[in-house]
Amino acid sequence: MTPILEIRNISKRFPGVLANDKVSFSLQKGEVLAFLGENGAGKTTLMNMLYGLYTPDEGDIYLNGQRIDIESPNDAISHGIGMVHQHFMLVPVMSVVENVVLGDETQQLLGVPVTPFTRRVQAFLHRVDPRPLFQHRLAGPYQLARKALTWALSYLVFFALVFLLLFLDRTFAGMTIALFSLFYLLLSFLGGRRPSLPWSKPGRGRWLQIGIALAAALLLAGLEEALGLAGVVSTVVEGILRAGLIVAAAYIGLWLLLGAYLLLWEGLNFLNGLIPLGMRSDAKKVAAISRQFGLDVNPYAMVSELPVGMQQRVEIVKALYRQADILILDEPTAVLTPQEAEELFQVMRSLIDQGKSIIFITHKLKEVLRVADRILVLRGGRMVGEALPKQATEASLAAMMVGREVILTVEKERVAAGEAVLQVENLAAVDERGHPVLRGVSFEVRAGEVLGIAGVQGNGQTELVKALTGLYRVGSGRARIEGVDITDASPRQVSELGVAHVPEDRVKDGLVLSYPIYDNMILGSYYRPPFARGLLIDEDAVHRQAVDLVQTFDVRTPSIATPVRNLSGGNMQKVIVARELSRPIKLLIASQPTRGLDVGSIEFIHKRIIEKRNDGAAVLLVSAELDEIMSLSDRIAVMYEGKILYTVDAAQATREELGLWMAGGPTHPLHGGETLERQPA
Amino acid sequence: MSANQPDPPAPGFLQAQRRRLLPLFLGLIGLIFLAVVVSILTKRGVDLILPLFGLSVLLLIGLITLRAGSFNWLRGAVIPLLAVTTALIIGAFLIAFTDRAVLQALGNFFDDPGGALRLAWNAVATAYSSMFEGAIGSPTRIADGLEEWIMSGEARAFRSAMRPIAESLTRSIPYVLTGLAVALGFRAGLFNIGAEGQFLIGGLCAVVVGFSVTGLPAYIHLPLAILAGAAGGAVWGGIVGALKAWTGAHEVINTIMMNWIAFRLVEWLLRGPLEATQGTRRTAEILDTAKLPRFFEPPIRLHAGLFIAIAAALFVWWFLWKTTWGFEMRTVGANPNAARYSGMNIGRNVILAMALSGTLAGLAGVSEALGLTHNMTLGFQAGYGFDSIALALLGNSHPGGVVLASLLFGVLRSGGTRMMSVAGVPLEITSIIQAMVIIFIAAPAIVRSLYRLDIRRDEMEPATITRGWGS
Repeated sequence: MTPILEIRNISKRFPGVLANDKVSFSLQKGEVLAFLGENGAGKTTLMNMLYGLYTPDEGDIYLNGQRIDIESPNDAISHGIGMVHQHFMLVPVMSVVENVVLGDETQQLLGVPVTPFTRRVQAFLHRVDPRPLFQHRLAGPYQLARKALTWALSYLVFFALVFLLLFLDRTFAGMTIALFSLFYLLLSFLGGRRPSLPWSKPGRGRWLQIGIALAAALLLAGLEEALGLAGVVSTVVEGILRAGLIVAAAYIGLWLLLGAYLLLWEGLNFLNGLIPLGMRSDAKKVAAISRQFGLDVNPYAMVSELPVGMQQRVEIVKALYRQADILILDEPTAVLTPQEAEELFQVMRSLIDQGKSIIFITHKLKEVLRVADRILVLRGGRMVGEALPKQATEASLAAMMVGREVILTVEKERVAAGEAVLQVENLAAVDERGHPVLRGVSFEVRAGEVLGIAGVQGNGQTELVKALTGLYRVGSGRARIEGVDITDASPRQVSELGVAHVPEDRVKDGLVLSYPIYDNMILGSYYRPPFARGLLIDEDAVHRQAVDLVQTFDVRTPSIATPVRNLSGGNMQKVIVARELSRPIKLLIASQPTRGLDVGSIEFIHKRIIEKRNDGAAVLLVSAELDEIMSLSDRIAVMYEGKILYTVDAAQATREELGLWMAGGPTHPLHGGETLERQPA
Repeated sequence: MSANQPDPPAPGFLQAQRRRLLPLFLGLIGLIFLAVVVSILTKRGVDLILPLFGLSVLLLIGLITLRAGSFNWLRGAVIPLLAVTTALIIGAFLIAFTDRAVLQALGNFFDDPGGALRLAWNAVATAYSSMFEGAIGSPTRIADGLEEWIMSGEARAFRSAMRPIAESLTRSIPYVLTGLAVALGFRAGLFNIGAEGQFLIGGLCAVVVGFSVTGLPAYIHLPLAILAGAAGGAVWGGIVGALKAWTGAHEVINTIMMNWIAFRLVEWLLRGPLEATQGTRRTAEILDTAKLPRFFEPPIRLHAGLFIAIAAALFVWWFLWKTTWGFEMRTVGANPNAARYSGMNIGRNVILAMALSGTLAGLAGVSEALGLTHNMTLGFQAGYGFDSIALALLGNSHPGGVVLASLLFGVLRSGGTRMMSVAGVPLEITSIIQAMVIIFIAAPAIVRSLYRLDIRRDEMEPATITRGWGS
């Protein structure tokens, strides 16, 4: 059977990085194909190429056995490929229908099916776009013409140079040409991609050609009178100029005409959008799709009022509405609760049953084993293995992803918990709009123990951590560290007490992305010796510290001067963990310490956290990953709507029970208990 | 480098000879430049200049080809340089198309394209070469003046030949200081639009101290006047910083309002209390003891404000990159969330940054008042404060960059004046060129797509660039 989609030897390079290296795979109709890989393994790059966000440098894509080019998301959609991104591309203040039809071009306009023609015009304009002329990437049907034009242009430029030298102020022209050469030189060697002049091929050799042209021009200028060339050259140059002008005029005219058509089409499209929602057939169609695939989406609901799981379904409807046969889901469960993920898996099943095919990207091993029909593993941009869920285990997949054996469970011996380090009593706080986010939280963390706080995101965990570290104003209640009151203390006061904080949002709070690694390593301690000598920063000490930490914490980076922006998520997190754990601490507050990281980094960070606990530090761990909480914690507390509903010894906790409490517990309104107000996330 | 084919390896010959060729190239280029200089000075062999120049460019190309890797530190200069070049190119079109003769020739363009091009070229050539002469000076006049000075000891001709370059420097001084003011603000995450007002207040305070305090020797009076101006600017900026830190009022709005207050305040003072002679709308001349010394005799106006500017640039660099306070300030600017998280006091930094920024702008006013005008008139600020925003952008908010950008603006300003008088190109063209430089700097994507440069890694989204580093 011909696979519905086949990828052959696709490669994609980014500056200095080979993101995909000759990747090949095929997708059968009615199959869930899962892609596994660490962060930076090239999964997303690969999918972005399928969806037309990037164009591959090499390799071919075949749809139903036919080679296709995907140059834009529109191309992908017209070939029946739809994508649900990790971050939803929805407009919150619009209804579901409006979001679904937004940017859709398959509709008819006043009964006229203009889309195919428009596409053709766009394609044509793309093909005759003069700009790639200068890029030496001659491909496509107009190759020959383009090549000829390139030649013509290159000689035009050459003649223009000579012309300038012969007939104009010679000193000035000479200076200009010299400056231009310098300027291109600079471009070439400093600007990343080498610029290509029309008459030269990429590579260093072109400088020879430029040099020859320049030397010839100067020579001609010097010898013009001796050779009596002036008249001849001027005639030739003028003839070429005149011919070139006529061709250019025709060319520009064509562009203007077709461009005007596209503009008109956009305008009409805009007018179409003004027709009221109820009068359009779109809503009915959306409802029909939703019914057909069991998606249960209300077409008239406002997107901002929908829970995350439902928003994701809107994205799926969006793809289905555009008649996608192949759906790419990029880490769809990253934002979902376990229950929502379960529902998503059911939706995926029903899609498969109706003949759709799904590409599913994730780095969660459990999910892959549950829902995939076939598993492909990427590592370092290469396809390293294929597995069937029946034969694979979590450990075997993890090993394939990372390239070595990975210990999935954290080994830790029991340590007798000591004195209470952090005591929290009845902590309450409100958000900016005055809604309560913490409703009386009480707990304590003792030395040598890990207290894990489980809960679906948005139940007050973020605010709790921020309140404890001095970043959030507390309404009432008290928090103490070793007896010292830290309610409404400043972040500096808290950290001076020996508190390390791995923030939830590493990019927003934990790092200065534009700073080199060494500056990020002293973010909390820059004002203290050995990094500060009076008002001055001791750069040697800072660099030594960075070299030291980069080694001990295995941060993979070309140098300590690399801006943190250029590191992968795992290495960014290692920088933060290294910084926070590098000083003596009594309490570690780690919020989502491994979110979005790959197995290798997770393993590493978990080990460090347990090490600190064994050294006698108290650890407060907040995580949305139940597995993480269960494997690291000594005790587990479940937070729901700003309260701690349930605390249990980790040894006695079960997944099911915790899941139940995370959803509000047995007393949740569903079960006839007290009514709790649910707030939109 | 993603789209192009990989470069072929350099020929073995070059690789083997690299080390030996390098000094050879360097020596040759040096010799050629020496020859050019000598031929200019002796006014002999002028015809050789052009070929020699071409040759040295060729050699330079070869040199850089050989030493490609060692010029990486220049990468940051690519975008500003390209922006300036592009603006000059577009400016050339503007000059050509506003020239009457060119427009006439364009009427029968299809019959005689060469003629129109020739005229256009000539217009641009005259304009830009007069701009060059106005900004740097005419090499022949300098040579003549030097010769006369050496032969007869009469330096007047040399001085007047050197005047353009000295004038460019003089005009750069307030640019450097106001540019530093805005750049420092940018580094701290603050948009100080109020350099204009701080400039005015700084100048005002300096002038008032300059003419009203009498009987002091210069070594006390001058520093006092400078300090008064700096303090005036610091207060004018510090108020805005304090408002932001304590009440959250946005600095953009408040600096604009402080500008208006400064303008009207000075206007009122010049109409009444400080007006020296009825109807002149200007203050009294400052005392000689408060004047910044000038280095040379007229017509060169270069004054000691130059040292203030250089010292300020060095100070800003040292402060921002070598001290803990500067580290805090940069962190607050780069990521206020992370700054708060690491225990920095954001309010304190905002106030300090605005006060420092105001001080620098105030110093610009000081150097202008004590060095050039020696009194205060209406329109004293002359737009330096607003141009400074562009300077900070152009200089990438780095002191070194700001100094270079200021030199460029100084050159454009003094060259533009001459371009108008000699080539008849309106002064507005210079402003347009300046504006375009800023547009291209502010939107590097335009330049990058124009010249097909790769998007730099740190300009790309973290999601795409992190790939491949391994984790």
